[in-house]
Order: sequence, then structure tokens, then C-alpha cells
Amino acid sequence: MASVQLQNISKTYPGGVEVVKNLNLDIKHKEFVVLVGPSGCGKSTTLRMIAGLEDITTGKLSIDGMVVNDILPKNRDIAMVFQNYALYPHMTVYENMAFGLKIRKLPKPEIQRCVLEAAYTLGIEDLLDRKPKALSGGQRQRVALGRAMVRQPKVFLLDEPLSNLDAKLRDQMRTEIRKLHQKLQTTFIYVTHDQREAMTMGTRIVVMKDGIVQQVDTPQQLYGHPCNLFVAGFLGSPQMNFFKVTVTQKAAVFTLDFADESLVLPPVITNNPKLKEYIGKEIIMGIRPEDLYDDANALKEANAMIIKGSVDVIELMGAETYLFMKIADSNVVARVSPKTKARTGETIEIVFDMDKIHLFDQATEKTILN
Amino acid sequence: MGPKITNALVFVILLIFAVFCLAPFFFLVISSLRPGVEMIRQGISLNIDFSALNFDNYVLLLDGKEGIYLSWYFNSVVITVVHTLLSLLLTSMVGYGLAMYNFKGKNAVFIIVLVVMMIPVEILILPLYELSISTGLIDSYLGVILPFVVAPMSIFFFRQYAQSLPRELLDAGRIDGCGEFKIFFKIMLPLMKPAFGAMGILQAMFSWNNFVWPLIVLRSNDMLTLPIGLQSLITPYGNNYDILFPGAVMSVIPIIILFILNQKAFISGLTVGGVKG
Repeated sequence: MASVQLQNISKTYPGGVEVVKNLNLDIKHKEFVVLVGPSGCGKSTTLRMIAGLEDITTGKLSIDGMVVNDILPKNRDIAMVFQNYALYPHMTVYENMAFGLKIRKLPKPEIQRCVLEAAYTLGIEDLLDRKPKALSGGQRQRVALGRAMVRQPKVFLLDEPLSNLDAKLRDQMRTEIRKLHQKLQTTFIYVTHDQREAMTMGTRIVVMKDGIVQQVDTPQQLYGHPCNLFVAGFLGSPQMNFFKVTVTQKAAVFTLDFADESLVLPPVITNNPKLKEYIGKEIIMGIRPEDLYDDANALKEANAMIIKGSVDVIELMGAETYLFMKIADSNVVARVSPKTKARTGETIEIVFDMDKIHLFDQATEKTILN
Repeated sequence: MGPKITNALVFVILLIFAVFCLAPFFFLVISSLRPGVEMIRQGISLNIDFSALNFDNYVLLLDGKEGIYLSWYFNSVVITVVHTLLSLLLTSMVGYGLAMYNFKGKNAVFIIVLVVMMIPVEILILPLYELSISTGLIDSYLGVILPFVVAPMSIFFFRQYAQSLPRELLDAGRIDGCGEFKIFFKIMLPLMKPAFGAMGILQAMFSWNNFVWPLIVLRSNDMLTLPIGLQSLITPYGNNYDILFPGAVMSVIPIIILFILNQKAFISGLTVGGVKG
């Protein structure tokens, strides 16, 4: 068992800069939790506090039910993979992987067995005699993972381990790390600023901003039901489109008005009693690029609304095409089929799937619908 | 001007510099192989009779005056080795600490190091002498070694070097189970080899050639170091060139060996930071 609990954890640096604020998180055994957020949001600091590399200002950190606030990193039974790998340059791959075990005074045959086993799992058994400088980025990354693996720790901590790799290798290593998690059946805590990495790897994602946890949930829930404007905008690429709209009620019909346009809200949204509080007020409407269509007949449902937009730029991505448009002074991006007939400079009809829209309070930026 | 002509010009200029640098060594070696009276008669002359050169002076040096030269040599070796090792150990740890750790008063300590660097040795000699008398270190190896063992220049150099080391290695060492001393000795020290090479040569040269302080603190003839011993051969009544020249030749040999062994580390240590890695 290797659960990790963070209770009211805060971190304040000398000078009063608070980088992590009252963080509460309960990570269960075998979970793959991803901490994601923009630079400076406190995700790496949180990971370093779990590792014991940063002091905790206030709060309680427990691993397997035992409070470890004052326990040295070496006694926490954790392993960490660093952003720049942090391989010891003067040691060979074998020595790098064996170092932690040697320090713990394990017998030589045992060390050899552990290192060879990890090297075999990661496919680096041919590199054991090489020094880190003679390895490629991907190989170094594997060695760093191997160094963490040999210790068979309770918790794996990974601090942006793929950020120094090229796109292709990053995709490959992402899959390998997920496989490794399935194989080792232990707890992984992974830090990244890349929402794509977070969405594809985590069993649960923790979205952070300015040292505060915004939302903790599964990737599907976070994507489909973001709790605030930040989470909605941060997850998804291209990011969600936002419009400032006014909620209007005409008899039983609710509409969202902006510029000269008016979007009729479907019953699934109008049934929400909270909406009535916003009648006559300005709110923010969000819609993901894949919920916009360039074909008027794309949606047969009555909940589709059509608005005209002028195409500024078309980006061909292969399996899909992005249309960058202007709709009533707002910049909008739609993810459409590569067979689109839209051309740059044209004004086309854009279909909004109104069942998929998100509504946010303008002042608090929190969702209205959930 | 073509690159070939430029290269040739640079080569000739460097050759001239090399000749100027090596000429004193050449004449020193030649003079050590000639009788001292020749030196008095001819001075440094280009008219060298190579058939007359012999090792008689070296035999005289090693046998004469009951082998006192070997005692001076031994004293110099002991003092240099102990001083260099101790100095490297202490100053590298201080420099590393100043570079890697954050603690209260860190900047104040570093400023003190810089200030001490700027104080001329001559100003320190009198208080150091009084301190040596009160601690009973006069006429002892420790008396020569201790006052200059923590060289501020060396601390400064190690600090600058350690600042270029990745801090993530420190974290990796902690996660791997090392304490702070183990991190220093097992991870960081091997990475600081070029700095040790450069400082090792400079500290050894300082200690080997140190003249003023050993002259003050050492009293017995058999405790003298080489520079003082050789100096004692120069008297107002005539200079003992028969011993002086071979003695000087033998005194430069350890430094040359040290430099040859450490050349690579010395040069990379002095040029570190000049090129982005």
C-alpha cells in the first residue's frame, strides 16, 4: 500500500511569497495522479514537498498513514525522476542505477539483480557501461526511470520528465511510462505543464493555479465538466472558445445574446434553476472547438444554432482542420473535418451544438451549470 | 593576409615567447652541470663546452653538509603535500557550501572572504607571528602550514566553480539516500576535478615557493624549507654556485611533474565558464 495524503499543506518562502496555499489531496494506492498547471502554479513545489526536498510551512503530509513532514527524503521510500534527469555524469549507467542501492548497503549480487532487471524492463541493458554524456535524450530518460525503479519505492515522483524530449520521443515515452505504471502497480505522482500529457496519462488530474488547487477529477470529468473558467481554458487544445453573453428570457425561451446574435438555450440547460439568477446579467459562455461545425446540416438536432463567421486562417492538421474565425468581434476556433469547403476570407455558417456549451459566472469565474 | 601566413606569424611569435620563457631554465640546467667557478669566470655564456658537463655538483649537493639539502627537500615536500591537501579539502567544502546552500549570513561570509582576499600578507605577518608564539607553533610544520591553509582565493574559486554544478544532483543524491557529506564526496567532488586540478597546482606552487612566512616561523637549520635553505647559500662572502644551481634545478622538478600530471584539469579548471556547456 502506498497512499499519500496532503492536508492543508502550504508553502511560504522567506520574504512571504506563498507558492502553495492550503492544499488538500488524497492520493490512493496505485493511482497515477498528474499535477498540472501553468509555470509558477506551485505544482513542482508540491512534488518537492512530497519528496522531502522542500520544507512544509504548514499542514500535514502522510505517506501510508505515517506523517512524514520531518522525515528525510531518504527515509520516505520514494523515488524521483527529475526534469533534467540528474544523472551523475561521472558514473556509468550501471553505477547510476546501482548508486542508491549501494548507499543502502545492499549486497552486491542483489544490486546486480535489481539493476539488470530494471535495465531489461526498460530495454537499456546494452547501455550499462556507457556514461550519461554518451546517451541520447530518450536513453537518459530511461536511465533516470531505471534509477528510480531499482529501489522499488512506494511512490514514484516524476517532475516534468518528458519536457526535454522532442515531440515524437515524448509521445513514445508517455506510453512507456503508462505501461510502467501498470507493470509496477504502485503510486505515481507526475508533474507537467502540458495538458495533453496530463489528459493522456493521469487516472486523476489535479489542476493548479497560483498555488491553489482548482479541480481534482478524472480527465473525462475535467474536460466535460470544468468547474471554472481557468480549468475550461487550460484543458483542451485548441482551447475552449469564450463569449461574453447576456442571459435573456422571453416567455419560456431563454437566450444568450451577444452583439447582434442570439442563441436559444436547450431545455437541458434551462431546466437548471441556477440560470434564473442570471437573467439580464452578463455571463461567459464557453464552447469547445469540436462542438462547432462548418456544415449547416452537420447537426439535425433542434439544439443547433447557426451563426455567421469570417474565416481568418485555416490550419490543416492532417486528420482534422482548424478554422480560425471572427464571430461578432470574438476570435473563435473550430475543429472541423479535413474535407471542409471553407476558404480563407470567406464568411461561412457555423453551427453551435448548444447541448455542449458551458456557462460561467463573470465575477467568480465558476461554472453555473454544475 | 591569408590564414597560412597568419598561422606562420602566430607560430613565430609564440616560438619567440617560448624561447624567452625556456631560456632561464636552459641556463639553469647547464649551469648546474658546470663547476661553480665557471659561473664566476664566464657568467651566463652561450659558449658552452658540452663535453665538460657532468653531475659532480649533484653528488656534492646530496652528500655535502651531512645531507642537509635532502632534509630541506623533505621538509618542503611534507609542508607542500599537507598544506595542499588540507587547503583543497577545507576551501572546496567552504566554497561548495557557499554556492549550494542557503543559510543566514551567507552573503556576509562571502563578503568576508572577498575582504580577506584583498588584505596583503605583509599586514598579517606580525599578528600571525604573535599568534604562532602564543600557540607554540614556532619552528614546526604546523606553524608554516596552518596560517595560510584556508586561502580565500581558493574558496572564491571553488564557490564560482560549484555554482555551475546542477543543483538537481544534490536533490538526486538526497533521494538516493546520501547525507550532505556523502553528496559532497561521492557526487560533487568528482565533478569538481578540474577545479581541484587548477587549485591543487596553484596551492602547491604557493606552498613550495613560500619564502617570507617560513623564514619567520622556522628557526632550526634542519627544519628549513628549500627556498630558505637555498637562500642561506647566498652569502656576502661568496655564493656557493656548485650547490645553488643543482639545488634550484631539483626544486623545480616536483612542480613540473605536478603540472604535467594535472595539466588537463588545470587548463579546463581555469577556463571553466568561458564556454557554454
